[in-house]
Amino acid sequence: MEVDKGKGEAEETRKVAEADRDTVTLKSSDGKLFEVSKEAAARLSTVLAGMIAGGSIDDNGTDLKQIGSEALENVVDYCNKHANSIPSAALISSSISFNTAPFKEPEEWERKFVDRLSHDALFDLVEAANFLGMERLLDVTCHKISEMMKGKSPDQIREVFNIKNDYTKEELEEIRQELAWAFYDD
Amino acid sequence: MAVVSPPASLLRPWSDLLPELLGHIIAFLPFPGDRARLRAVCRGWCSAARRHVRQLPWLVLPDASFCTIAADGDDGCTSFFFRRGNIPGLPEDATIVGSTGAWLAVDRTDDPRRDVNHRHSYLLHNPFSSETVPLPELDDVISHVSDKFEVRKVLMRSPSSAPADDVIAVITNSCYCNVILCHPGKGVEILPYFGICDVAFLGDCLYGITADEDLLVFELDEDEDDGRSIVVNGKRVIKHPLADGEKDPWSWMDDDGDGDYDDNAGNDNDGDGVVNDDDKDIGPYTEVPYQGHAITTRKLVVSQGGELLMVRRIMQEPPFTRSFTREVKVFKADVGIGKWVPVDHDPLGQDGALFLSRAFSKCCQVFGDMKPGFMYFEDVDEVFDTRLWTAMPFTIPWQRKLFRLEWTTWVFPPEVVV
Repeated sequence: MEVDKGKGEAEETRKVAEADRDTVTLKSSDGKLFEVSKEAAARLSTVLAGMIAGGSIDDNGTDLKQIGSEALENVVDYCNKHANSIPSAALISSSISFNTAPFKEPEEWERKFVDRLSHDALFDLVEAANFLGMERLLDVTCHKISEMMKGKSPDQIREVFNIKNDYTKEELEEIRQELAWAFYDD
Repeated sequence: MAVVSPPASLLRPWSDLLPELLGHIIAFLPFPGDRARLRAVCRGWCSAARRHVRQLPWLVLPDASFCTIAADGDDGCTSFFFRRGNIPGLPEDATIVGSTGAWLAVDRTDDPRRDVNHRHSYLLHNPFSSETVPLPELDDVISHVSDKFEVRKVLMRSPSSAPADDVIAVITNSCYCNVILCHPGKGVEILPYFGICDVAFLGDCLYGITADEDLLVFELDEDEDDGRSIVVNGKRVIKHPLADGEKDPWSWMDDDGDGDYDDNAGNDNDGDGVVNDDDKDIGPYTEVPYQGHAITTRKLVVSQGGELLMVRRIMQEPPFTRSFTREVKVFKADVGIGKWVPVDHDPLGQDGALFLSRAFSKCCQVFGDMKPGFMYFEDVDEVFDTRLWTAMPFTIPWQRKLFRLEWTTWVFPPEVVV
């Protein structure tokens, strides 16, 4: 910090400039930069809102070390799309003053947004949404994942989600017997 | 952005997913079957499901949408709302009018307009097993009804059995068919004119309570000819104390058996001669001057210990602020002395909880997120703790309020996977 005072000053002026800008720059773990509207970022992500309010946004790209570029691209894409679409859902939820607004099903564009993602991208996106405190995106992605599980047998779920069966045969048999009513189809 | 799927061997294993995220995903899978199957996927998911999945019974709205509620917060819940269409096997034109155990009582009409007389047909639908049991016997009685007609409660005698082998009590707001006992495949028995507002099955009897807090009992038996359940004997076992000059239209009921004509028998009752008429005088229970609309409801429930309880609840509906529970009292029916006896200590028993709605009342063993001694409502943002006799904030899903004047009901998933 003390090494280069000039840089510190530049930082200050940049911060002032930052306050006037209406976008923020985010940097993924692999160093790629993405711009997103400040308004949308603050509204959709509690973490980014906190960073913006706290002035810890870096003009050169705020480091988000936990998020890869593909996931961050999706996050930014979602924010921009959300900023463009909105109204209905947001208006309704803001007019009702309940501290726990329940989930509303994904809108058409949100459905399309998550439908085109690969499984890996979905995995990364749900974790990114969780990390950034993006409640709506978390709901939409979790909803999508739940639909991929609905009505499927454990074998099918393991296949879809690339999961190893770590139960012993005996344990599995025990579960199946205990929950026999749930295993109508396999 | 182009999506290129890498070969399967490179895919990330989802068993690494954070447990709380899995919990969030499971919240979107309301059906117990889906949850049970997740447990068999891998150890990690099983323990995540155990840790993160707890909930209350479903709250089902008239349009067949429903909310699952997890009471995980301090003053409320995380609720998930599932739109109409999420319950498989339900006909398009279905309206949910009640529930009993895991069964939904469904009213089908050929004309969705409320202000038109139209044909109704009735059925029971189990959303968890997708079974449907039509009730043509009921259609014969209440198929053509006025637009003011309402089914107020549907109750199976033993909700765990198949409806076809059971007796189903249907309370309506029509005095011609106040209570209909429907025996699928066999016939109906109609109890008219009694003014019964809630019923409960206990032993071989159907108990009914009136708005005056009279308790009627109807002994049930099988008809020798067709095997349907019929009422072989009906009498009044608790009668409310009469106000000055009030006529008792039901005194004839006391005639058979050990009828009791002695009017002053109940005069030291805490009801003390005041008729509890819902929208008139709420009587000596009022401790505050008029503050708006107060509604008194009375529900019959059978406690975990097999006692017949009356839950009397006064709800205040101020014009411009939220409704709240002003008072809750629980009474035990003492048929021997013909009185309601207040139960002040732990009325729901050691680990009982109570679920109430306009169309529903059930006392059950606590599971999931339920707390022992709590009464859960669907009409106010409150729960009532019967151990402290106090109401506490509890946020119910706001979608409930879309159906302010309608009948919402609780439905209990048959197996809770936790």
